[in-house]
Amino acid sequence: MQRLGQLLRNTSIQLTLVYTLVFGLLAAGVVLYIGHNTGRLLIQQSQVAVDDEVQKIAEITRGVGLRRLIPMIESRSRQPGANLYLVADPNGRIIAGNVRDLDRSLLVKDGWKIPPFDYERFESVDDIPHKAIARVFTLPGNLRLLVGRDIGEFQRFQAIVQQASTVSLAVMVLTGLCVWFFIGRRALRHIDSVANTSQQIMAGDLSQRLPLSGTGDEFDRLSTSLNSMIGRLEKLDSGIQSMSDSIAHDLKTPLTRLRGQAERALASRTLKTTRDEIEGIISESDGIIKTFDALLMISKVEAGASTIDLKPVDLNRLIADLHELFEASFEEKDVALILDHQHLPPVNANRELIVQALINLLDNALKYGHAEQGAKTIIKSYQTDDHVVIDIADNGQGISKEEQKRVQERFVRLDNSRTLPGSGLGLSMVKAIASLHGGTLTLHDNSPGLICRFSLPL
Amino acid sequence: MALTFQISVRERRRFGNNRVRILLIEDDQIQADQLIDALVSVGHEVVHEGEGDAALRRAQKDTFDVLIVDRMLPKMDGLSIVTALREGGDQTPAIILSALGQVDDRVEGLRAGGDDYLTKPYATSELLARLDVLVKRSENTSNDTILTLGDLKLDRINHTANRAGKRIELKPREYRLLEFLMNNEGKIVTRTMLLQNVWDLNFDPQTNVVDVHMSRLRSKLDKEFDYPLLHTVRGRGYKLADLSDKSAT
Repeated sequence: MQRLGQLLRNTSIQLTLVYTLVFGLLAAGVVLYIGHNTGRLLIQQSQVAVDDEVQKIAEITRGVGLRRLIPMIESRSRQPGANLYLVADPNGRIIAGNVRDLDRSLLVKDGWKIPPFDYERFESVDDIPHKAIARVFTLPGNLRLLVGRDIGEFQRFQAIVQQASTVSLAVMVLTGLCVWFFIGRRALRHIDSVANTSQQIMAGDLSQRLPLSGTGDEFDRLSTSLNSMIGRLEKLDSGIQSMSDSIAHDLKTPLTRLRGQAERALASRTLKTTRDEIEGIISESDGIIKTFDALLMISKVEAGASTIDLKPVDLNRLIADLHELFEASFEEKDVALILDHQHLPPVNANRELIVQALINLLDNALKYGHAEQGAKTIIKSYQTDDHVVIDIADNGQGISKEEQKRVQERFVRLDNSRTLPGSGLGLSMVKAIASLHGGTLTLHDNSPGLICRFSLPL
Repeated sequence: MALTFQISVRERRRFGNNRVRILLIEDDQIQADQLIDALVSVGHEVVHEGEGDAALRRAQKDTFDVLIVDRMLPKMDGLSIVTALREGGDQTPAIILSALGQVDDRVEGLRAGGDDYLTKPYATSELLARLDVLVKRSENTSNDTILTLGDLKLDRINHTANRAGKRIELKPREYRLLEFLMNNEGKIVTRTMLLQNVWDLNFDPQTNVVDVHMSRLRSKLDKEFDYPLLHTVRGRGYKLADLSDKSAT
């Protein structure tokens, strides 16, 4: 019963039901209309035929008088498929014709007897009551003449029409109900499974996905987009999980150091050492603040494109400026910073974010990309069919294949970098910025060295 | 905050005859008190307002040299105050302070009519440095074709520099760097300010990219000469100043 209630609340089912009802009513109306009209038409035709007959009889009798009337009626009566003829005396006794019996009161008054009446016929082989319409005249000598037409055939025809209509109506309603049931059950099944899965997802199991029927219908389309939404949620959820873990773990270290410095400052005996310790505390706090800034920026970027302004950016100018800015720092470390530049078309991007991403990559190359001899870092920019690509390629130690993936995660710092300053957030920020623009960050082996490939869609 | 109170006597003296009158619009009492301490300790005069609408009325009634405006305020936000003042024709320089510091917030702040934008938490020294530059800019929009500091001369038409009559070869970026420093002669400029003004890049340098450029400029500027003009201010930034006579006294 509950199931039926659900069925009735389903939109497609309600629609089917309404359609079935409306079409049923329309069809019934058409049937009634046709029935009524054919009936009327048939009676009109019969009347015309009877009038014709009366005309003929009148013409004949005008010449010869009543004497010849009776035999003429008798002969006409005996023709196959003849009309109805009856002559009766003033008492209602039947004198001639092919009518054996009828309601005598019909003969009392002249005129049309339109609502079909029952009568018995002489040559009738069955006992089926015949129906007819007729016209009654009074002849001289108070004789009554009735000329009529059997409408049994018409009625049978009408009955057939009505029956056919009724059957088709019934078939229609039944089909409607079947369709209604089928669609409704299918819809409900889908909705039930979606509801069940959502329950599990709400209970915290974000790995669940809505089932697809594989037909590509609207339910599948809806489920597919819901699934990608759940996928995004799952990613965000695990992001938050791992981020809060990392924050707890990675901020504890600098905070512990901070506390140690504060204790030393408190214990130190000279103003000079106190000042040194306090300066250390400030720079340690600055480091923590920078880490938080980076985290906030990553989460803002990951939160989505809607709040961030994109404008055409001239990457050529930007790359040249950054090369100029960093070249000196690289030189200090005996690394050549080489620009291998191909002219790039403007891309729709957020300049500040692109600057941040490229600076992070250059920073990394500066920190980790040194080599024993002939160290160089190349900034290479080029255009593919639908992307602009900026490679920052060094010939330093590089990163092993297994670690390439890991190093893009938040707070991940490889063992040989732990002694250098940094938050472990640089590459995750670049990755977030790239994906905000619909682009990618990929790492490749430069053998020896590392290529960071930053690519943006045109 | 510790560094705030280490502001040198020299600076205090400098502001002694040139008091800067500041309207500080900040709703957080602790932050406001810290800032007032820092500003007063270098000789500025500070008027403090904690609510947006009152602050706007105050700014319209009174005259100030600089406004320091927190972005998030009760009753009326900081950007609206600045916009309202600018619409009324008031061009008093304004520094906007904000905890929002990401991506587009700075651009938005400057578009609203702010002259500078600082993200909380900021170093007090950074705020003081920017304040100095801002006051100087509004006081003295120098259009001189030749800037002079001691025996250093910068020709703004030919983009050349001379010190003690000797030509100093400068790359285009070094010229811009020196021009910015000379325009802000005697003021501390921070690394972030240099990146913003000379390279047009708005970011917080994690590495010493700016320092390398500065040391190259210094070697061209000071190496073969009697006394240094470009000074490093530890933990804060750089300062271009002729301290030769003062160091003698």
